[in-house]
Amino acid sequence: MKMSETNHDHRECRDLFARMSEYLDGEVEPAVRRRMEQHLDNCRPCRICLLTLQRTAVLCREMSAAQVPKEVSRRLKEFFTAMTGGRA
Amino acid sequence: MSDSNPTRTKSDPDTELIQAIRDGEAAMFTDLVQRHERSLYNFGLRMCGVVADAEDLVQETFLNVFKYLKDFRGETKFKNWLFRIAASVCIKKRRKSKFAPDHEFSLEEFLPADEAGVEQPVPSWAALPLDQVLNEELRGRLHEAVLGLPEKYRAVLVLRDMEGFSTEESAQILNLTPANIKVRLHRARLFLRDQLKSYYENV
Repeated sequence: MKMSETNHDHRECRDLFARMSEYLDGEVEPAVRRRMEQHLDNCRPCRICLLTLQRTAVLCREMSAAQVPKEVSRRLKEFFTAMTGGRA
Repeated sequence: MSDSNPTRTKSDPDTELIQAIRDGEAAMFTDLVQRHERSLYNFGLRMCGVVADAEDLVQETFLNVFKYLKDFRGETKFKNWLFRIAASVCIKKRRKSKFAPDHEFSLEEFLPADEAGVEQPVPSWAALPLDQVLNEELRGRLHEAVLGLPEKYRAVLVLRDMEGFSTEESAQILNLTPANIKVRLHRARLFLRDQLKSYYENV
């Protein structure tokens, strides 16, 4: 494990690193969650890693959806109106 | 294409519209298109990166919807079924993104570098309030980074973190196991995290 901080077991860093997204998404079992949180309390590199990963996911969620260009929307409407025999 | 989710959906905002179309109001199909064209168009843009391809994706997906609507039994939300068809259209096109060669990510390549003994601060892009970080330049950078993801990771990230589908729903849409979805999502996020980190280290 490359993440290092003195006096702790880096296997725990690796285990946490492998399941960080599941932790953020609330998808780990309660016992595992408690173990992860104990580790996070004592490991600054893992805390920073978690914060940056969390921010990455939040930024993705906050990316606004593009509007469909009016021309594209019009073409789609015309196409499906013609296909279904409806009104344009 | 039939929907095979055994869990009957309690409330689906599309149920009435679909029933009307099935009852013979075919012209109402355009209402269904208009209701979902934005999310599908964005899915196309995020998967293909090109406006023309996104438009094709919307059109081909709804052509399939029209053809197979009789097989939709409401056992899953219509939107989930719609995205299942869209994902299948994407796969069938087999358009290799010019941005992203096929590549299998390993967890190892994302392990943070050794910062032994050095007190690292939380980087500003993760510490500052969101509205101070999320500007147009970052949006553009993030969009490019998403397009840089290999397709199998991109599809999962777009569904989970951008379209808001759950792990289970994404698994149904992409015909993968929930465990697969979790692994791919984690690696996709780690890739984007590294891209954001590099971006902020170089500005």
